[in-house]
Amino acid sequence: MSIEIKNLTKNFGNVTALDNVSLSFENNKIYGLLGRNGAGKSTLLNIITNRVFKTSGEILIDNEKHEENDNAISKIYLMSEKTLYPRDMKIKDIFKWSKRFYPDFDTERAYELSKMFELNTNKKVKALSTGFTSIFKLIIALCVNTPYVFLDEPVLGLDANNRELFYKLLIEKYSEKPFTVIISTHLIEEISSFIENAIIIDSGKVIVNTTREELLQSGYSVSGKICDVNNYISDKEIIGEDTFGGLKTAYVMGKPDTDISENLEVTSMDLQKLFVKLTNTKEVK
Amino acid sequence: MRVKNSFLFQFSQCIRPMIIFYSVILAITTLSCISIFAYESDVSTVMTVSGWDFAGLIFLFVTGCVTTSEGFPVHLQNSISRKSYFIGKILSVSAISAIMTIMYTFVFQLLLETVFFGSKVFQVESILHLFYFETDEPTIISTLWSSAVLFVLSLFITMLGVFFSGIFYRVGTITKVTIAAGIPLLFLVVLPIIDSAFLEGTLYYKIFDFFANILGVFEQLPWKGCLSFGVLFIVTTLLSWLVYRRMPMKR
Repeated sequence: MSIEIKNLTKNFGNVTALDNVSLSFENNKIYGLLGRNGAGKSTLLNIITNRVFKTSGEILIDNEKHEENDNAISKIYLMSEKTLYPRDMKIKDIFKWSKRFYPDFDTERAYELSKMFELNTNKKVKALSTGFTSIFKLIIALCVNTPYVFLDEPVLGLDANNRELFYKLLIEKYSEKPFTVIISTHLIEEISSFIENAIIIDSGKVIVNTTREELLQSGYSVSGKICDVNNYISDKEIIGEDTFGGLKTAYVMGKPDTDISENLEVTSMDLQKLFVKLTNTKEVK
Repeated sequence: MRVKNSFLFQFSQCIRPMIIFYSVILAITTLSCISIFAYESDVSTVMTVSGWDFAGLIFLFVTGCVTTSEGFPVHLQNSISRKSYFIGKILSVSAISAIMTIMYTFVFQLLLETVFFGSKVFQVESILHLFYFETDEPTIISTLWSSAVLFVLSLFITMLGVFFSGIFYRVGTITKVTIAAGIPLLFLVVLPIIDSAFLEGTLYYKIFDFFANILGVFEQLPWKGCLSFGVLFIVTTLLSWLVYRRMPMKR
């Protein structure tokens, strides 16, 4: 049971949004789908969920072709940045229709979560702020109970308290009954503690597809005097450098040398730093 | 199951507008009746209303035109395929057309006319009935025939609105303006000028003649009208499917 993506390409006119992407989303895992603005994350999620058509390639959802296949695409719920619900519809009516379209939708739980987030379900979609618009979509995503849930910028407009509440509820739900979650967000550090796998897309191509642990162990930073650092990194694969006065920090791929000089300080890179260095093409190496 | 839910959703979106439409029609008619009979002392006065059937057709066309912009994204959000959405749309179009035909035939023509207002003071004139049965007094058969034509015409008109709304959803602003302004300009201004200036009115006469023939108006054959509108409904449905089958979500 998985989502298989093979040689997926999507062109919008002359622009290649996705370039020969091949991926697999396994059952019951939490994935972080990371990338810069315009990298192709939302396009990928929209193609998988049949909202946009691919140019070429193949997508299988539990071994079924996904395109125009009700049975396959009904296994996925995509909470997207765009609000596709009618603006004049009340939240409670949206819950009612979500129950119709997704029979496993837990309406009772949706009202419970609405109370937790202080969402007034008698309000119409157009009357909600950006934050509450995200909240009602999040509530649906947490209650829909489909095998695959995609969250595209789920915490847009949420204050820190609500973001923490959402992550807590997501982890609780995942712990109770695991399902496949794919979170696409720019707030990398907030999700780095609980994602199991990380996929980084850059300019339409997948540049990283590995477990979080492997990704974090794939690089390190080394700091010290400029000359010491330069000597050390002369034969290493560097993904970035920062210089402050007479000191330098270099971001190195691979494992640190066992006989590293005492003048140099080695630290592990956090996920956000690693992501920035891997995707920052403007940086001079 | 997905088709059923799609149909129920699309149908439910039309209920409130229908209630408002009929409330307005009834309110206007009732107020007109009151104002006329309050000041009219002649007991033989009969108030005749016509055009309700065509008002309903305009309502249906507009309903078809506005359904895509909100209905389609909702279906994408709830993982409904375009195929299921379109089948649900055909079913909801059929249901709404049937309801409006029944409302017109049984509520307005029969019920209101005979029970509420009384046929001696209030009469509902069907334009379609006039087309096919001229000045004959309506009978049950003729009423049923004109209702059948009305139903099939309603299907076609609503689907035409659906077709245009699909086109408008997919094209850019310039194309929208070109179509929205261009088509009326062409048929209501440019062609009539050309027709009267250079063709002595023969173009529009021939167009009218063609449609009157295929709709059976000259021979007063309502079954021909049913058949022709039915064919137009099928053609419009097929054209609409070509528009909807690969419709992407708007960026």
